[in-house]
Amino acid sequence: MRKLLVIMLFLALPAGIFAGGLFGELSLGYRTQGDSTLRDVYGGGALQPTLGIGTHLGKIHLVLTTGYFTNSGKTLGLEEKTTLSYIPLFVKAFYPLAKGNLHPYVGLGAGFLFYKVKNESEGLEDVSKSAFGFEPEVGVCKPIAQGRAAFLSLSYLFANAKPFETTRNIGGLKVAVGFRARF
Amino acid sequence: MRTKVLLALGVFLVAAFLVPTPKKTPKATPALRALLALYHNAGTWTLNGDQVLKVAERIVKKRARRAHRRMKAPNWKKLEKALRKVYGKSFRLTGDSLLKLVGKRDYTIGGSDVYAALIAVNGDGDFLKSYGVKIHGRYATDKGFTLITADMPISSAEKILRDDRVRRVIVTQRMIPTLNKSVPATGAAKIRLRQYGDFPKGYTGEGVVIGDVDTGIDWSHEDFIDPGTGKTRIKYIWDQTIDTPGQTPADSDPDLPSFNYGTEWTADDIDNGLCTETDDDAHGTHVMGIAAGNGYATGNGYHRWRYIGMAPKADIIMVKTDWYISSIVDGIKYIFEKAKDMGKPAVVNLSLGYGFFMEPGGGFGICHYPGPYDSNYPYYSGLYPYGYFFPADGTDDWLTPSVESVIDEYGPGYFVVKAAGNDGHWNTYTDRSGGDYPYTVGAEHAQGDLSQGPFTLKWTQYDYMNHPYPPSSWLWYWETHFAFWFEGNPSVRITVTGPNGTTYVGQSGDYNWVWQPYGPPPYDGDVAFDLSYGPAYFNGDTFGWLDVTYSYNAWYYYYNNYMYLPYYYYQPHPGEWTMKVEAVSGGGPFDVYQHDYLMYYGIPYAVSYVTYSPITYNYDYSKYIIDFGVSDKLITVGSWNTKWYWLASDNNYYTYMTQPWIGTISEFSSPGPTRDGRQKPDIAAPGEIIISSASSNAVWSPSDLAEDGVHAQMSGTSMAAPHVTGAVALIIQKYLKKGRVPNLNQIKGKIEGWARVDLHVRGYGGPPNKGFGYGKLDVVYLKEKPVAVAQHETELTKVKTSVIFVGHKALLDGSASYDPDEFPLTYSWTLESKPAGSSAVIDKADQEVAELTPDVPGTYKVKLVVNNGVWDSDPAYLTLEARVPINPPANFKVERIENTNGFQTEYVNKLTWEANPENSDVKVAKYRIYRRVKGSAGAMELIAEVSAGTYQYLDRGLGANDYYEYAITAVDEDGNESLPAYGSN
Repeated sequence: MRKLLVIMLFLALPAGIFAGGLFGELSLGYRTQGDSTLRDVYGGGALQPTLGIGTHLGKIHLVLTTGYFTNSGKTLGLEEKTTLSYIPLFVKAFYPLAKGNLHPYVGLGAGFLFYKVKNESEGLEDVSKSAFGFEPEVGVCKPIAQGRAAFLSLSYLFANAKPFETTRNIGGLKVAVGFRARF
Repeated sequence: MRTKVLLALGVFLVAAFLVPTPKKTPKATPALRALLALYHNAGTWTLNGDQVLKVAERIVKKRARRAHRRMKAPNWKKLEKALRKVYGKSFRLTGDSLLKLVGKRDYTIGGSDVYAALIAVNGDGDFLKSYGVKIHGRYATDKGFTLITADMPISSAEKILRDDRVRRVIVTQRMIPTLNKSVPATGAAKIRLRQYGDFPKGYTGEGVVIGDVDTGIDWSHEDFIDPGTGKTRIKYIWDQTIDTPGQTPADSDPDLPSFNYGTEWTADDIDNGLCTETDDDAHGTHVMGIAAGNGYATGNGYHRWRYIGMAPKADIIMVKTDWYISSIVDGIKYIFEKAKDMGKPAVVNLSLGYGFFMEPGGGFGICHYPGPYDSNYPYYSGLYPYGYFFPADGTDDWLTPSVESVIDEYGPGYFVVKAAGNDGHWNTYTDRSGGDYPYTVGAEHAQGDLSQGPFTLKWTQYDYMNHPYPPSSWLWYWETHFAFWFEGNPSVRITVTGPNGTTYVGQSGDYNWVWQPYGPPPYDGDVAFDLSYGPAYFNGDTFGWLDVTYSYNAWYYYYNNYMYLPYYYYQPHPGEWTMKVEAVSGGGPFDVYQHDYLMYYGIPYAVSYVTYSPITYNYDYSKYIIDFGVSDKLITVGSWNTKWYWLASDNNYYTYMTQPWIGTISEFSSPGPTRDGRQKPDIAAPGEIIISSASSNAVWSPSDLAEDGVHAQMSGTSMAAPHVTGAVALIIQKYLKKGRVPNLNQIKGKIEGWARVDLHVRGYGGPPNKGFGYGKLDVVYLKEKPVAVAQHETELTKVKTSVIFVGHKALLDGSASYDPDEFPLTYSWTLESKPAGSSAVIDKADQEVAELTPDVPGTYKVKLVVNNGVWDSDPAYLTLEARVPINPPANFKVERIENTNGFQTEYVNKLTWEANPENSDVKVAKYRIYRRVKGSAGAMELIAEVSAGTYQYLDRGLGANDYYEYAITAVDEDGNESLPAYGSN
């Protein structure tokens, strides 16, 4: 059902292109490991670059985003290296609340994360799977030129992964700055 | 009318014994002629019911008048009292019971008078039907004739006997249970054969049928009930004493079409409470309890399983017999046939026999005897004890072959065990001082060889008149009988000399009554000779007899050389008599049997185990087994003494008055061998004061009942035989376990080969000897030797090894030892040899796993012997090489670690150790790591070898519930491995 929703959003994007034109955005954020156990293994977090392309549907902005997150740590017990990485493929919608020098906005993204766990330990298995996630976001946007703006966002990714028996949220809080430009 | 005739015949049998043999024309009164004459003139008799008694009085008086003798009318009350001593307190003397005693079967064919008979014929005997004979069984013999068991109308007897196809007719005599309650018993220990082992797993008789032809069985007795199912273990009861048309064996079994008499009861009948058979005598129940009782029954608060029979899980078939030999033969066949239908082998117990001589209740015999009698008298009636007519060598043409025929018909897997008889007198025979009358000894035997010259024997004629027992008021007349069997056909002369010098001479061909004419006293008496027989066709030997009896002119009573009259007691003159037997021509070995013979009130009463006039010179105590117990195809059983007291239901201990030594032959057990010198008995078994199942149908005295009230004591070879019967069942079971069925030779081989031989047995010579046969039955030999297996395994991997280490405990493992019959084992470990200077010993040497801690290097030789309760195994040896061990690694630790990446957790046992500094003179090449599931006692598995210098090993990939214990060893460059160091988490 969740996959069906994402697919519908992607189908809606071309309609948006013809309706309001395109814009792109690029950001760099720091993503924390929200799950405490993963935080013990992998540490607090890692940088995550994100790239997106979007359009307008009236006041609603729709953005198709992707990025890359990788975080290495040591297993609990034998302290052998292990790496968690994922590539999200999300559709995000946000809505500017007011016009002026700073434009606050709220948004919500949803989509899939294609994640991998890679171990140096011979007793733990490598795994590559996908998980559904969603990410509420708030931010402010500062126009800096015609058709260009910078933004600061705060979001939290919820994505429960269950590669084996244990389910953990591989997402977490992200603070990011980025640049958005209309084509 | 038929009934009247029938009763008249019975009266005849009473009267016939009262008729003195005519002095000058003895051939004129063969009893059958008289019998047939009586029958033909029966119309003049008006007898029925109890009128027979009155008519008997008339006969007595009539005969007395004819003989010019004064006879006192019978005192029936005294006679009844006397017979109760024989037949029990419930006996009532009536016309019918009197007829029954003399052998009349109490039913008729078509209203005719009918006797149970054995008829020897050429061919199949079908022609007998034309004479009204009702055929029950046909038994082919290897002697060219067929034996027919049948009901024969006496009205046809003459015609049958004149038929050339008929060789012999025996109007069968009743057998008796070979029970002896009154024989002194001895001993101290309570030893019953079955107590040698409780057969917990091995041998219970399961899969085998035990049959018994006897007085019946108390089917309600819990010793014959399977406690697991609550159902009876008795598969069939054939009650031959009561006819129930439609319920005979012939009605249920097409293979027994002629067994159309009696009443058959099945297990279902018993379980459904329909069976009405009873064992009022209790003999059969007791016998079957010994052979197959399971000891489940108890009472008076005693626990169960105290009196367990030999084969407590055998199936049971009981034939309640009417005691005619023809019925007994049918009974054997019935048991075999039923067992065969059940697909099981069978062993039949016969605790019965004729006794050494006839006892009250006998019938009469008819001999179609070729020889001098043929020309004038085609038949001969046996007025005299049957013992005379037994050749006692198994060659007879009517008794032994009929039993052997059944055995031959069924072959391997079907056996008959028989009691030897209770005619022995093992301990009293040695006292011949002559002063202690009466001797309670059995009939006696002497043997000689005429080729060695004349043979003389002497006997002391008992002064019956001067002794209170048996009560002289019973007695009517008294004789001493001698029966001869001469090898071949010699011409002999026999000279008898009385105490007063009177001489009587008879010789071959004579049938004379040599009497002492009336004259002045003293009188010695008369002697009757019958040496007229030719050689018997069945064995070529010649039979003869003589009676030493009262004077024919005996209205005089001679006592102390004075003559009194009138009176009605008669006896030969007391004192020493002499008999000389010499050959006129030819001559070889011969046997002579002697017993006293008395008659009271018309009933012949020769107590089989009592004689009052013992042979005192040239006596030979042997050859007392004379009926079909002499057959090689039967297992004949004597008795020995195992016990001398018992605790009765009245809580008193009882014993018999005189006691021979415990363990020796029972006083009453009939000695062998056979007359022709073959070994009998085959074996001896416990037979005195045997506690076994007590029939609730019988009346018991509290002293005879055992303490639990449902078992009782009895003695006799009757009790010895079922021990062997049960043992045979156990042996059969052993064969069955191996998929085989034993034959008679195999069974006898086991019984005889396993026989226990002790000083008591050896005391009579051999074995084999005439008392114990091959010895005492010892069923414990069923157990085979156990097998000892001694092993030593590596401590870690349980691999067999001969290497052990100095200073370290080695486990000696005997757990692979076994007993073929699954009896529990005991263990005995011993150290056969050890290196010089060693003081090592084996610990826990009586355990399945023993311990040896070598103290110096070298070779240790260990021996293991196991025992199954009877037998030691052959020893098993284990040679161990003790070495100085390498020291195991030090500080061996096991740490359990949970290794997780947040998504997946593996459990890891981290093993760490250190080099052992005590291995400084040894170069460790590697370490071996073993593990096994924690808590298991199994072998450890080698999971890794790591090189020297490595001191950690991770046992990874374990599950959350995987717990192990570990061992690590050090291995030097020569491959010597240290003892393990252990660790676990």
